[in-house]
Amino acid sequence: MAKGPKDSIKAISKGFAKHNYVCSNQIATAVYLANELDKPILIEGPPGVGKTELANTAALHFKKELLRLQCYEGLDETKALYEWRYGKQLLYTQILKEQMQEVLDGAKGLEESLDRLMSFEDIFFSENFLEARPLLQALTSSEGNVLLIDEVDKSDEEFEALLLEILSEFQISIPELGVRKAEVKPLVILTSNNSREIGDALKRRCLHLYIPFPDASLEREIIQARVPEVNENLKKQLVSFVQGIRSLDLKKLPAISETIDWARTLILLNAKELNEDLARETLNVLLKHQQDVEVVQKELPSLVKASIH
Amino acid sequence: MERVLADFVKTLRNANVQVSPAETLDAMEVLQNIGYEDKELLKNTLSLTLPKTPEEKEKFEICFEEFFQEKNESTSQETVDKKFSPTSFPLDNKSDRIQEFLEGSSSDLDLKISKAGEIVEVREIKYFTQRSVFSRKILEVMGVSEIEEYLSLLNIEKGEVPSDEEKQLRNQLANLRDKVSNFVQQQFLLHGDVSGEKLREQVFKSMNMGQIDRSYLNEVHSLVRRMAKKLANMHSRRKKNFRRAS
Repeated sequence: MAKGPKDSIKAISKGFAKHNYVCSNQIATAVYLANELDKPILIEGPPGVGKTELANTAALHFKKELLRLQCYEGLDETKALYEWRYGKQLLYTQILKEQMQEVLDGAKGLEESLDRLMSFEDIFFSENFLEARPLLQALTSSEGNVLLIDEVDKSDEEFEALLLEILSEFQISIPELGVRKAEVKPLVILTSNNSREIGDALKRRCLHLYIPFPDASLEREIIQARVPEVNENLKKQLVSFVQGIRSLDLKKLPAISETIDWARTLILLNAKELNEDLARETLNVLLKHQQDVEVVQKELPSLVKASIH
Repeated sequence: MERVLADFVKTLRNANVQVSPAETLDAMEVLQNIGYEDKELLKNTLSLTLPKTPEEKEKFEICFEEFFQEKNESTSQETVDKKFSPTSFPLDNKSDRIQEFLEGSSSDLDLKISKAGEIVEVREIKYFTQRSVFSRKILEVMGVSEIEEYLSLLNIEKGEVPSDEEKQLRNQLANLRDKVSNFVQQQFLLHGDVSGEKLREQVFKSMNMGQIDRSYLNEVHSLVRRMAKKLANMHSRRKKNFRRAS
């Protein structure tokens, strides 16, 4: 049965919800397009809004393996693409040396020895000695997979250039072996926290998805999906409290992951509803900087009051 | 439909959203898959393919609403404007065009205006002084001079008391003029303004800061911010290379 794009997008939303990931239409559309058109998705947004989780959920939803490449400064192709197994290669040359005696036995003169040597199959540079790293693994897998390139903004510009060929052509050139092209194209998800501007060339090749902080109703849905034990009243209060904190001028605003942690903390403390003391004692679950804690503590009475009513 | 997309991309570029030709091609490919029928889906999809920063996405939202609103208006206004469309009048010596004009519904009128706009290439509008010229051109294409002529004939024939039909026709004509002028204004905002903005930016770059009028303060702010960012980008790379070399 042929399904329209709208139905497929709805199916993705529902499938993700089963894995406790509440996604907006925009996110479901991005996943649908990426899957249909084999385009990578570049996800940007503040930390903790569920960028990495999206890749995890996509892997569960499509029942594919997740390959993860965590980016950092200094990441190079031997860590990301492939590496030669030098140890094994050395052993190979030693074996070769012993075997060579038999091959060269009885050869007259240098020329004949060289001919015999040339006719001998050399596997020094071959798949046998190739250690595939996540990017190469993703391309060579025959079942298809989800490739997560996490925090691509932490890597160097050189690495970004390396990604260009992989993301547009889904192929890698290995000088010794030639071009390796993907049989089944992986679903590629890149995430960035915007610690540096990603190059236009890379952005151009991707679908660009920006995930902002959720609004109150979406955040309540997420809390419901992630922490189902929390009662209706407390859920409303804690979400409205967090939304209130986000309107303040802070160094680091609390993200969804922190709201979830906080909800779990409150459950652990057997809280039935929010009050000032409870909020004050558990504030450090939400806020990660002392100066933010101080700012919020000043506003605490009014914030709690606003979220209770 | 490709023309619509191309026009929309042009509008985005006018609003300072950098869209490359390759991205336009991507968008076309994507649209072949999802189609143009569903507005929300269309918006989500284009927002994934065309704008590539949060700021650009904001601009995109505004442009999208403005651009596609005009295309939907024709259907929604039909009921509202019913009262304007006249019933039958005992007229004999008027041409088909005037008859058509009197009886046509509001949505027909909108469609005709945008068709006439295409004929006179209203998307080429650059400066606000061109608005009246384009309005007149569109009215001419729609055959307004014929109606005006007919009205003046009516005046001569019937003396000073205007008939119901004449009133009706004058009302319609005024309505049409308003619509055309709104249409041109909208097109100017979509396609025009920027040349003015770019021109101003060029001038601002070479002007003494003190001499720039306060009303342009916001524009200057964003200009300075963009220049600073460019400068920072340029030098941060050099600094990094320098550190690496040492």
